[in-house]
Amino acid sequence: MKRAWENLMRFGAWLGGTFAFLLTGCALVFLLGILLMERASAGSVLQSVWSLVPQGLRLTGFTVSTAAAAVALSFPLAWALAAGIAFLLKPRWLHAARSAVSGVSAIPAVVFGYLSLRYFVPVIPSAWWGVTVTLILMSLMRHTLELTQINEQHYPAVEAAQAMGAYIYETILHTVFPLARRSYLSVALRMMSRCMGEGVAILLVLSAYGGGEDTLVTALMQTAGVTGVPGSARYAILLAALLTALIVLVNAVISFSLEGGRHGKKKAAE
Amino acid sequence: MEKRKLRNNIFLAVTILLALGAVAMLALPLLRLAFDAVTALLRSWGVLPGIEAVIVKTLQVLLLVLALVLPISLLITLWMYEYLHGLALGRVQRFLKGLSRVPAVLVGLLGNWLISGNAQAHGSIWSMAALLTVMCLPFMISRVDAALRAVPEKYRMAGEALGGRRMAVLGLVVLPQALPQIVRACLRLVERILCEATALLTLMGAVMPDQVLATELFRLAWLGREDAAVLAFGLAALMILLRLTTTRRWRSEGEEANCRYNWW
Repeated sequence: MKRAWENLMRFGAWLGGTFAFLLTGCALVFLLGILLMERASAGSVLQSVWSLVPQGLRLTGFTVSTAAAAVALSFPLAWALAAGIAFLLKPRWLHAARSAVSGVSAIPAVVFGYLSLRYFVPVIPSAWWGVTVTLILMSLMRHTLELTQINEQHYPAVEAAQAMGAYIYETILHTVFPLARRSYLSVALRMMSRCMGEGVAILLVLSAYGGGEDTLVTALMQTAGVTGVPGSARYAILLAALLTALIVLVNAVISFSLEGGRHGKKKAAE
Repeated sequence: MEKRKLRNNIFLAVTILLALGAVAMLALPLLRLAFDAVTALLRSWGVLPGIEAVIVKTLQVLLLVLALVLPISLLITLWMYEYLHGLALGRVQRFLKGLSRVPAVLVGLLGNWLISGNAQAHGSIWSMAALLTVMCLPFMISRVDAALRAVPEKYRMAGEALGGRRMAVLGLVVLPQALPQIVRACLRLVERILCEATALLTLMGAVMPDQVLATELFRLAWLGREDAAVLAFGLAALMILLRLTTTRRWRSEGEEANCRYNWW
């Protein structure tokens, strides 16, 4: 029996390895194919892409500024709600509150877009604020759950602070905050990453303004022809490169904030 | 002493005010949506014509993606568990985590380019399933891998002490222990598949009628149709119900009573 399991699992692992190498190989061949195809006209591609850079940078500015504003405005609200649930709510309401927060975090992005389009856009005059409010709503719904879970991980420290006679503000500011600051930062950065990568909700909101404003993702969706007229492939490549660079940068900062860089890794290994 | 109390009261007031603001921002649009959906339904029961076909297609795509993603991710995780250790394992895990954070629009664009010559493939179930599989595979592999590695080392050690080899212990001891976490990962995968619209819309290249639920909602909202409220409310309610019925309690009752700090 044990031997049969051993053989079965080994066969599964071998098959898995084959799949992993096949998938990686296919991806590499695909990338290589694109590079070889584009190599023939590299000069002209570079020249035509270069002329599109100012527009790409303007879209990047819009994307980063709306995402940063949404994180800056939604994080205190989400943190306060999470702290309220974890530390202030009466025990009999705790389960209901957690369930509610968990439930709303499952709502799809397209519903956020619809909610914004229907209830917020008619009272917000500018596209920038329309997008920012949509992202605030989305961040609040999705990340309050994570912040609540982070706060709850520090109950033992809170108990210790209680035993020392600390007030709530002293406990949260002097005990929970220093312990959870890396986790808070990583949640904020994940919020930012998600806000920058959001597509359908923002496209719906921007459709109501028609002022030529776009984020990198909505511009990419438009180059694929989602709103009717497809754009040029070179413009799409530029936008995809800018979006990838932004997301890679934010992900690098997330790993740095969680692991503490080279020094942190060394310390953790010790 | 009085100063500390005053600061505490100010801190509490600010936190409670911000929390109430957050609750209002979350609850008000959802309540209005529920009201609009019920009003639209009361006005006419014939809203959302042809939604049955959309639901059937959504279920088909869901089943197809699950059938593709689950076995492949499980097999690749087994390979990682058996053959990757130390630095290589860390690098692969980090790479997978990075891949699972790639924005959906980039995956959709890739799919769009790959099938650009074939007009029929843009709205076909197979191309949608293939795209969602590519998108969800890194996420699922990292979740299954995390579930396997979260099983306490003592189980593995006990299995090996009884004469089991590494892979037999994995199959007979570790995998059953990790099963609840793997099921939770599957449910998160279902949520992702049902909610994904960005990648699918980019793949399709145009907003087509009678596709999956998320893209249909986008289409109705884009057209400014009133019955979009019913579909939006239905989709939100479905996802909330799915999450609530499948999320286990974070802690058991006894643990909660012991560890929770009660300010009141």
